[in-house]
Amino acid sequence: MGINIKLKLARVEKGFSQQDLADRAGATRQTIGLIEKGNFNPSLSLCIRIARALDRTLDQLFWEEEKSEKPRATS
Amino acid sequence: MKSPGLQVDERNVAITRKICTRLYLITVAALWLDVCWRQFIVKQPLGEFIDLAVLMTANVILFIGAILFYGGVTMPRIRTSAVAVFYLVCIAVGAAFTVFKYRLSPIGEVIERILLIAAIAGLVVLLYAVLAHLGAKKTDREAGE
Repeated sequence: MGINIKLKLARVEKGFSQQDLADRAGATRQTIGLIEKGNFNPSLSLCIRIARALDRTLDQLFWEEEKSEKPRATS
Repeated sequence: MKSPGLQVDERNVAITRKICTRLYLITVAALWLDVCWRQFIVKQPLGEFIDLAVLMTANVILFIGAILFYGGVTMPRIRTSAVAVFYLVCIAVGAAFTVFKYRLSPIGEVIERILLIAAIAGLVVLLYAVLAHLGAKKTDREAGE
């Protein structure tokens, strides 16, 4: 698992500090930091809480496109 | 707003569980070594550490039973051959330990002990089989299958 730059960008765009996001998602600041660094694999429920706190979808924050993977069809 | 007091999230819980599991295994291993030390090195009478041995044995039996019941190990089907092998291994280990411990010589005494071990091991294996079966049914029910 690599660095989750999308999560960090979304948080900064929203103007949240790690502590703000942690408070809104019901986690600790350290956990948010570790998720952003790619050193902790969060549960689906925590991913959903983070996505809701940042007004994003799970895909936008956590989906990693593989290099060989074709772009997915959008409706 | 920051909440006062301890902050705990799923990462803290996961780390705590990992530490508890490792410390539990270390504690059981240490107790087992302690019982062996008292029995074979210090040669204490059994009455002086039977409480320790009983607590440790009951704890390990309950631990394995709980793992089987709550689905720590998923057993979709209990294979009779696997149960039979486990049972025979229990008897062999128990018999070897007992003969070594009590230095039994008359064959009648040895057979008597082995029958006792076979009965106790049978009860434990039966308990595990029932718990695994009930646990699998419980999990299926919860999963709505």
